[in-house]
Amino acid sequence: MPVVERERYVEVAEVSKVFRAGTAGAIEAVSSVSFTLPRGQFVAVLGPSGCGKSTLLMMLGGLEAVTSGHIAVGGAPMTGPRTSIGIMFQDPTLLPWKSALDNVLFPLRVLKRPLDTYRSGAQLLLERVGLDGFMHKKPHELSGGMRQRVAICRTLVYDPELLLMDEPFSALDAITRDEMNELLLDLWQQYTKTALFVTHSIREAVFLADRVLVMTRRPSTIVEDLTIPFARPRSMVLGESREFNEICGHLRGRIEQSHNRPNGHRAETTLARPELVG
Amino acid sequence: MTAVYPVAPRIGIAPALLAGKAVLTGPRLRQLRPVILPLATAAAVLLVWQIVVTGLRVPAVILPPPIAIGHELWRVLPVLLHHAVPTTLDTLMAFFTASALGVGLAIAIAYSPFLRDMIYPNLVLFQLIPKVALAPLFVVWLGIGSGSRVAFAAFVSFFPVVISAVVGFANIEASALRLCRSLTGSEWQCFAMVRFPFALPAIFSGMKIAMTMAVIGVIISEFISAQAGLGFYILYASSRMETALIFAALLVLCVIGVALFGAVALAEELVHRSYGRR
Amino acid sequence: MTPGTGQMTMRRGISRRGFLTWTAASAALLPMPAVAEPRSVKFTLAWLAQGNFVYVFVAHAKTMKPRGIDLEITRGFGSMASAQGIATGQFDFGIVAVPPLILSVAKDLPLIALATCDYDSTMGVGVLDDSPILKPQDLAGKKIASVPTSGEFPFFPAYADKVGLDANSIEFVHVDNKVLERVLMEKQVDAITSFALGSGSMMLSKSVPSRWMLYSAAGIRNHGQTIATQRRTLETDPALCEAITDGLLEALAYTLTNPQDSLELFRKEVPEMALNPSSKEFARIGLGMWQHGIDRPEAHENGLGWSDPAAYAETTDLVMRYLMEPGAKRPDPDAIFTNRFAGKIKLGAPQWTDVRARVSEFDKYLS
Repeated sequence: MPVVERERYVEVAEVSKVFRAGTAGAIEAVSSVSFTLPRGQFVAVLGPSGCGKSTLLMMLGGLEAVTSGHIAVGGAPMTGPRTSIGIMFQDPTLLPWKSALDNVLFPLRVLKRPLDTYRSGAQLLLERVGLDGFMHKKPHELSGGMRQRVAICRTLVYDPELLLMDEPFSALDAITRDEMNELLLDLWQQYTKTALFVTHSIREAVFLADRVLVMTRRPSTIVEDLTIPFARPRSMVLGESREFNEICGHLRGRIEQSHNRPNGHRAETTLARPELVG
Repeated sequence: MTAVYPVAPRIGIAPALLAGKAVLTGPRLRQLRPVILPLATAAAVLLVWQIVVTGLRVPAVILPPPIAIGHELWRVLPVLLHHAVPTTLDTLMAFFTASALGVGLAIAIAYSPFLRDMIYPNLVLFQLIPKVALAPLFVVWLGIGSGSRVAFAAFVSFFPVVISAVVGFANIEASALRLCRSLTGSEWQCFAMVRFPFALPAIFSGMKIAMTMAVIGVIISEFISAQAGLGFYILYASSRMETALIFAALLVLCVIGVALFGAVALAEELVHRSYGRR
Repeated sequence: MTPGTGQMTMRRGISRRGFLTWTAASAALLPMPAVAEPRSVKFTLAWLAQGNFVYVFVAHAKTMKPRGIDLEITRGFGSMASAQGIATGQFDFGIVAVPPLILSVAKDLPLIALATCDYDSTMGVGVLDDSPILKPQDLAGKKIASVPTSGEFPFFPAYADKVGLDANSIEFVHVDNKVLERVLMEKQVDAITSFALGSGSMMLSKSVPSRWMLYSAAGIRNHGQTIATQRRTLETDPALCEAITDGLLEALAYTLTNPQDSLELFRKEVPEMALNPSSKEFARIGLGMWQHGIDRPEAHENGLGWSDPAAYAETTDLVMRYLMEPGAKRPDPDAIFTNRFAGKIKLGAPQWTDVRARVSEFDKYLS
């Protein structure tokens, strides 16, 4: 693949999103965001809740249209959902009447591909994430973490090239979340995907990503593009290192700063560090 | 029933009592209780009824004793069954018409916000009208044949179906639809594979109500105009002050109503097996 | 007055002075027995407030108050229903047509007739004026609508036998009273069975003339309204029974001699009957057709309210034959009616002549 294309696998240029919400008038969720992702990179989009990062993800996945600017993946402009893109949301949204395995196979039914071809692959995925005894269980018999694992398998089963994840582990408890982060990195390395991971957890972003993009509150723009220097594979122990925590602190400060921009966004986050304010 | 009793009972009643006690306190109790208790209550009511009516010498025209009703039921059972046929057939036709139209309209409303805003509030309002008052109008509009009865009963049972179905389709989690769309599912696929199965429990609960209303609607229609049927027969018995016959006909009607309701519940159960959450 | 529902209530009670004043002022025809104190009496009609019940409302307005009775009038749902209502004590008195009354007594409802008010309830088969059906035998193979709970319904087989008609050749449709006349007017059926003075007058008031083949014309005497009550009431409170009967028969006489004023009173008591021209006509025609059935030798000779034992016996025969199980016990005539309070009011010949002149316009509808 030509170097240019490889470097600019995902291309986001001056993208804005404005919602017309009836009585509230126009809301600019995303304002003039630009970045590119090379193939195989794991990037985290970090920012407080309520900023436009989920909207950005939806636009990248073809589920929302851009108001201005343009997005291209693999050279082709985004006009709608694609089979080369896999999206994970905070809610695993498993179909309650289907077993775990059938849920994993669900995308193939939508894509009208023969299920038998993919069945063994699906089973392998489920084993890989530690659910081999649970393949025929219904979602109500699984815990939150298990359901999210099924969702991961479902996202991977049809082998998308780009993974978009919108705070998939936010609803889980801290311990499970850490396990899921490790599992995610495992899978990402095994299957070499390009990944964009939205989160509001600084530690999660730093742990997972090659690169962290910091976004502000609405109207969101990118205020920092930080490369994470740690080697792979990474383990949770990394979280105790001094360098890790310095990077987290730097990012925290950056976020604080952006809260007190002259155009009047006030700091409300509990991450307040007074010495960096104003 | 493995208890050993020290005294060998010679009086016949004692073993029966002891056996009964053993049954009722044994593990069988839990299984039999849901059947025994209502049956025993009904039997007790019938007994009290018989005693009171006979003792107070209530004229049979006002309230016949259960034994007289049973006797009449046995005597005219073939006639009652003969009249049960048109009533049942009209009910089924009304039910299927109402269900098809109800679900159809609900689907249209689910896909057209314009239609929903136009029609749904009116539907809810219409639900409040005592539709019994309109029954004579159906005869005026559609004549004295079976058509007006089926139409009226369908009219009456249409509303529970459409309202439940609209709610069922609306209450689908947006995330499930989003999932389907992100997998490049077409509108039809999203409907058939996600929307419809999610709405099934609501649709079925609406249909169960509709079946009951269809029976009632047919009987009311038969009271207004009929050439045959259980409603027709009840009026005929009224005209001759044969109150026991009225009760006998009502009993057959109850059995039919319960059977039809049970059929819908059975269908729901079967659908649950394939789409179920158990 | 509470309009519209057919349930009329009056202010309770009249002072002793008022009572005496009323007694003096009203042109009472009968001596008033002293009923202890103004009491509320529940009375049911056999049907809606219509022409043939005008006299009950006249009684409420004129003749019951002086007797210290507060008559609460409720609309009925057929003679069967009013019979049952009286038998259960829901109503103290009420109107039940003779044949359903006899049927009730045969079925062990302890009712008794205190008076018979008219002598032809006009049970019959009605067709539209332009119908090709001219005589009963033409009904073979036709479609007839009936209200099963209406008093004339069970007697069709008797009528069929009398006129030589095969009842099995007829297609019967059961309808509700709300649509009975309409299905005939819209020609959805060829004929209806009903009471001519009810259905016929209703259709005539909407300018749709009808012809009626009366059961009485075929020799089936069906005497009309009775004032009915529980036998026990007659035994324990004969004074009240007498007062009610007297009051109603007095009002009946008033409607015969003062029909216009009676209709006025009726319209005041039942405002919806004055709503539109057709309801006014309906009341007038109904009253006229009904009085057609009072203008009979039974009333001329025996006074108002007299029950004819021969007619009762005939109707009892019909009931036993067509409506009861073979071997059922035939009710004793003394248990069915009494003439104790009847016959006190007799109209004179000139008054009957006036009545005749007035009701002759309805001869052509009642064959």
